[in-house]
Amino acid sequence: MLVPLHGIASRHDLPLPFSFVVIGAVLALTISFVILIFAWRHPRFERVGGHPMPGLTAVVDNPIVRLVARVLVLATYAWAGLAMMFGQDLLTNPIFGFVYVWMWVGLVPISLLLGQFWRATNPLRSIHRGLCALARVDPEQGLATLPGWAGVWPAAVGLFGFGWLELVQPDRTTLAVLRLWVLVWLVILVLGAIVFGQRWIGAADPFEVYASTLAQMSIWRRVGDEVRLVNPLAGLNAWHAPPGATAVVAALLGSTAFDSFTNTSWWIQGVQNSNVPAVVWGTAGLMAMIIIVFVSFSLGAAWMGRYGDRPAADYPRLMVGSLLPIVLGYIVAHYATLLIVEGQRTAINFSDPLGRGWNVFGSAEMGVNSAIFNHPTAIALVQLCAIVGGHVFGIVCAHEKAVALLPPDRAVRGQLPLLLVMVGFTCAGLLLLFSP
Amino acid sequence: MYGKAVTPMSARAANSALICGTMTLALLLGGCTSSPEPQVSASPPSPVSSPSGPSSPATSPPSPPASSPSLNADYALTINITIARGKTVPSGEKINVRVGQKVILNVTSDTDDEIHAHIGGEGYELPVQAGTPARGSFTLEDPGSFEVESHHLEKIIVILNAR
Repeated sequence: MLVPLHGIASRHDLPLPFSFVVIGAVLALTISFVILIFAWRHPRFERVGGHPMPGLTAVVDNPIVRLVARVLVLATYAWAGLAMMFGQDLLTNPIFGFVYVWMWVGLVPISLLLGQFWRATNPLRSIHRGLCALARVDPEQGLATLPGWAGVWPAAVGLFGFGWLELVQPDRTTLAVLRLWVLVWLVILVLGAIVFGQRWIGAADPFEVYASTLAQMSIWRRVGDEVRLVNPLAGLNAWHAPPGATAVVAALLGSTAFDSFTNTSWWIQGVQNSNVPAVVWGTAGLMAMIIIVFVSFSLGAAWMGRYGDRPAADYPRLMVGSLLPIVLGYIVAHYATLLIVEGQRTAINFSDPLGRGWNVFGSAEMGVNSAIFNHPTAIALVQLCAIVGGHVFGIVCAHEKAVALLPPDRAVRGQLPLLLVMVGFTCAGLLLLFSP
Repeated sequence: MYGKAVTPMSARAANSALICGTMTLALLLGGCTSSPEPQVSASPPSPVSSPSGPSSPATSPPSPPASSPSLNADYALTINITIARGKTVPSGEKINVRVGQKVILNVTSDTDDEIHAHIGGEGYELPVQAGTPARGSFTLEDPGSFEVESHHLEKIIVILNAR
């Protein structure tokens, strides 16, 4: 099999038809202003509400259930680690699909369907817990206290690092490169957890922060001690975003946008015919994309400071939840077929981590069903619905927050710049999928 | 972008850039419409130098006339590729093809190289020797977006959008 230059898939989605881009942009703009002008004027989701699920709470809090889930996830990681350390340096090694598809994309459906599952089973936490048990120390206790303002800033840096690995790093589908990155990730996270206690993992692990951020849109939410089935809008509205959450969301949105941007003829031609190395272009482009998202969103939200009674700098963090549906829409539109097709290939290769013809899980003989690619119009329709749907949910969340934070007569004016920024993100997302 | 698709798309792209006028991203994308025409054309017969190329000039179907785009499965699409001084022409162009349409690559290069077409399955590989024109062909069996790359330069030559 020929190894693709970039990434792990050799077949990609067709560009979104231009008519879809126009329809999507018109829909996004129209629905946004309809919501802005005609929607409710008083907060509707001040309380999470939802249905308490005492039985489910008992199951997920059962120590044996937790232990089994942790062991299963840790064993999956150990198996992938075996492939990374002792497998063949070929694309048939499942570690590449494991990292770039199962982890990076697969964590999204896991977090939406199972809520804070990753936080409960994160193998880094299991490793740290094991080390602490050996040393007979409390995993919560560190040598120093992580200051509160750190929030999830370390994870924002980590997400930029993963975006760089996924989109810029040369030879990212070779074992030597991946081993180095995994080693750095393990050392920073486990050493940091020893220094700052377990809280470091929740602040710095890019995968846990990614998963737990997207899990804010799950139908499952823990309120007090019980798990509830909630309206995702109300759940997301109840999210208290930690410091740095805006940077985390900007890194997610910016790196996904940059992934599409590098697929435009304009970018490929410019970079390939430039005397500046591609790594420099890639690094600058990825950073620029994340900074554009971060700055435009922060400015749009800070505008609300003119109408509310809080300092302008508070608003980006209060409003950042409303970007999450847009992030989700981008991820679905960009990576759904990758998860479905390359996710299967990873599952097949997972039976034979060392390339010795094993069939441990019985999946090695299965074929990849890529029939989904034979329905390009359906794919385009899903992409359009994901982007526009994410936008609509985002606008609804932003409106709810705005009427809660601003005086009723000023809520519409105050949220207008943010609304335009969000329309801009959505139109840019559609244009990037059109990928000229 | 290829052939007659260029004009309507760029006009509409400009409109759309207006729609999202706040977005720098969109404005940046407007720049793509200035990319030069890809080197896709009817080509004179040349010796078949690829061992894997099943076609010969005598039997290959005629190439489309210059005015008609590549979107006709009855015609082969010929892509002339020049590799010189570390650069490829075309470079990152997007070309529309029909599923089932034959794609012919005519390659001249100043260094030994391999052209890789990631067309699904095992892919297609065309070895190229310095100074000797190489010719090969393949058919895209399924819809999707596929890259044709210079393996030694690690550069994308064209992206085939098969519908």
